[in-house]
Amino acid sequence: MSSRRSRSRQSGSSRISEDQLLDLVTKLQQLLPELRNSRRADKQVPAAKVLQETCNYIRSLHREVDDLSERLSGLLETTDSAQAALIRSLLNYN
Amino acid sequence: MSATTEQLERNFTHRFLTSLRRINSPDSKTTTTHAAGLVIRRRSLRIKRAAYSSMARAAGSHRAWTRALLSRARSQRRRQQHDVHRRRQGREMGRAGKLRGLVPGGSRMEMGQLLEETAHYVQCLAVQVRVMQAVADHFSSSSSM
Repeated sequence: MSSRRSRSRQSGSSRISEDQLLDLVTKLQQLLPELRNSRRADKQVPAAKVLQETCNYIRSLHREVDDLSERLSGLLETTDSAQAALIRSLLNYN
Repeated sequence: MSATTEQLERNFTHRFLTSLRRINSPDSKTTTTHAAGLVIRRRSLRIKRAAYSSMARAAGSHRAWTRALLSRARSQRRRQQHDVHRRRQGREMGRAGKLRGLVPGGSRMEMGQLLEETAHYVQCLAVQVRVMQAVADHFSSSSSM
């Protein structure tokens, strides 16, 4: 994907066009589990709805990171040298 | 999964596991005067920060959100607590305000950049969660053997 700088050098317009905005909103829509598979996927979901769902999705992902961090912390608590060996082997796999 | 996503996942996994190993090493553990619950809570915060930093590094510095996240992490380590929303530009869509608060660096972005950065951020977050889940499942199943 080409990196589009929003700062312009020549013309006065630093905003991107409505069409480009709508394209980006559609692209975002495709990433959201709630909207991607809905039967309205072929229709244009209102931008406000896409942004709302995006916020919900990001918040739920943040919560999952919180929960998984706590879970991992508890699991590491029980770790011993065998677990350390596991981590090493996982690193070697890469 | 696309080739780039696979590469991102591998890159993140490697960094994250390295961080976990460092967090779990005996020298980094706090003294035993702390209650077990506190140790676990503190470690979970370190794990969380390591996860976000590992993903930001794996994703690359050409993205504004990764730079914002890593610079926020650096300033937090120096115990500065500012979450200032500066110069909010482009208020075409009302909901964008909340989104700006959720995406690192979002408060400084034009609308178009915000949407692009959000798309990338969301994809990376999904990978991060997937890997953390896999690592946790792996440790769970091992300890129950």
